[in-house]
Amino acid sequence: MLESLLSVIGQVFQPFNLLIVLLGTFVGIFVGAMPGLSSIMGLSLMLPLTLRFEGTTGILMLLGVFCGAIYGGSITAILVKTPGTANSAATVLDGYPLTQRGEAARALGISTFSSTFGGLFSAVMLLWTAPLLSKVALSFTSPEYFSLAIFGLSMVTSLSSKNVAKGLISAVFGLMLGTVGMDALTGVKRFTFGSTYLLGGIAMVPVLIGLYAFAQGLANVEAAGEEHKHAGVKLKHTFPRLSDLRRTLPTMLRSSVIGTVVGAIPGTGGDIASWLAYNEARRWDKHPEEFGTGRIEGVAAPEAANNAVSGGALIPLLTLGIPGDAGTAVMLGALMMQGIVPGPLLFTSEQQKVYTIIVGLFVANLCMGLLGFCGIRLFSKIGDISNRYLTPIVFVFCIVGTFALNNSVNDIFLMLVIGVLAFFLIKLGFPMPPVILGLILGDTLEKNLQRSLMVSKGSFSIFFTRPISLCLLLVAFASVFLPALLRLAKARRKEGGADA
Amino acid sequence: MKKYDFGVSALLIVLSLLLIRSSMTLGAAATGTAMGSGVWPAMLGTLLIVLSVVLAVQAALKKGDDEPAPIDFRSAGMKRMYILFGLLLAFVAVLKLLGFYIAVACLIPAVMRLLGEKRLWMDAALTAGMLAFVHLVFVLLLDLKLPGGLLFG
Repeated sequence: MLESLLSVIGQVFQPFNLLIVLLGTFVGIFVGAMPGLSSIMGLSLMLPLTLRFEGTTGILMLLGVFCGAIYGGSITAILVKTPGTANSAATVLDGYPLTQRGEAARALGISTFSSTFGGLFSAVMLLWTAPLLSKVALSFTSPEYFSLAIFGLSMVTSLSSKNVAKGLISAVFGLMLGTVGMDALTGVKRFTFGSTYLLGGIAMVPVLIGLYAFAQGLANVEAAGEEHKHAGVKLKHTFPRLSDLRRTLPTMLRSSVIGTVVGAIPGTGGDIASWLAYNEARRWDKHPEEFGTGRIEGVAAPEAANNAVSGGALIPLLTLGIPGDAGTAVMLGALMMQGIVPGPLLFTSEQQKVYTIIVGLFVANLCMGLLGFCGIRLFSKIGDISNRYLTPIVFVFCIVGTFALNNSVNDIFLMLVIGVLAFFLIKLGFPMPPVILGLILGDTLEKNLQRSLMVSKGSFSIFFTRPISLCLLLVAFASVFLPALLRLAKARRKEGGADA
Repeated sequence: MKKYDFGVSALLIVLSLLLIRSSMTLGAAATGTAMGSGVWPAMLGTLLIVLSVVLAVQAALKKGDDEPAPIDFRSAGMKRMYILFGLLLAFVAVLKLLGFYIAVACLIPAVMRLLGEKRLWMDAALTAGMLAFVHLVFVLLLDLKLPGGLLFG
């Protein structure tokens, strides 16, 4: 292990690779800091570009985008009370009051430091826990993989939408998209409508760019006129004071643990982690009543937690091949396109690549800290860029990025159609993460269902007689139906109370 | 919101029925112990019908309808969207016929104008800058051949 790790460190620290990670992190911070752009949009747009690099260089770039975007969201949250991404919504509570008090540089400094701390902590946790979990996962067979895919899908579905039915419909829509093309097992053409383009199935990249980047661009056009607020603050001494670091260290440590654990649970994400960490920071503090008025711990907690999610989310992705959210779904797609199939076997067959990803995450977090401290004055101006210029740029990147994948104009048309459809679906309250997860996991689900039924001679009992499979299905069932049942019970109780 | 949920449910049920019907022609009957190609899509179609019914029932059980309509088809924003959809259709036609550079050179200023930009030099600068950037990075550095269209392809 140590030998592999040392050789990977030498490889990742090559100047070109470092430059690529820095570039990815810069792009990530840019999209994260810009309200109206999202980390998934950044990842989707960069994905086709990264596929043109050899080896794992492209993955390193995506890791940079992944980490940078989470951190970038805090900049506008602190300066103009507008979180760049949902991950930084909790940062607004104490970050903006600090800016109002003229302590924006202090808040940004702690935000940068705690983000880097959380990210590095989770990278270490990934290095430590992923090989252990992969050993457990080695015993998994088709029924477990089927149940695991159901579990991942159900968690994302139940947590990404207020309406579970709409979340499930989105997931089924994604699974349906996955059925288009030639069935690999039987060679039968499914839903191709005579088109040779559809024979190979619906590619992930056009769908991804359509769902996350183009649809967001369309939403920006609809909301034109709603310009962002300008920061208008002068920043000096952005490196945090030693006294602040000493004061926030326990909070950062606790929040990093929370972020890593939450990130490892499929369906959760940076937003949940940051709110949990914020609440815990307030609960543990001697002066909880001061939270919301500009406590530095109120900035450190959510920022350490949301960045710690990055390493946590890679644990189920690398060990089980299950993406926890849309961001890791893009990473999964990128890995698969590079010929790397995440799962327990990856740790034995392609150990070098696994360590490249883990070391890459570590380096991406270091780059994030470096860029954060050196470029904060520049990044604080990002929110000032008007959507009038940004939206057409996003459109052009959507078009070029989609085309770059297969040099196919049909991919562009598919992306446009999916984007317009997604624009209306989002308006109607349908979440998009289950769609992309359904598209990615569709093949895993169908193949493992087929294999399991072959083994069991057509009996579905195979999923309920194997303990791990049964547990995963029970958790999946509970995650989908429990919130609805609890709501129903609460309503009944209320009605009962009113009658009495 | 209620009527939109009813509309979506009805549409999804129709689509699901069509999907199930198509799946039947793909070998829905299991051959031996393995699944036929149509079984999985048919299962998804059935599931979608169930979920659509649940969505419709949820909408029906909702007391009143105080939620604002999710789409205001007459709003200024949606009117901008109609123009944008027209622009995108024109973009597709120009892309097919005249290729990437001309299509994008038309799309960027058109979108900027739609978003309220009035300065001609700004339209020209951003368009030229974007095309130069795409050419430099994607064509020269990454060796991508951008579509030339029917006339220049």
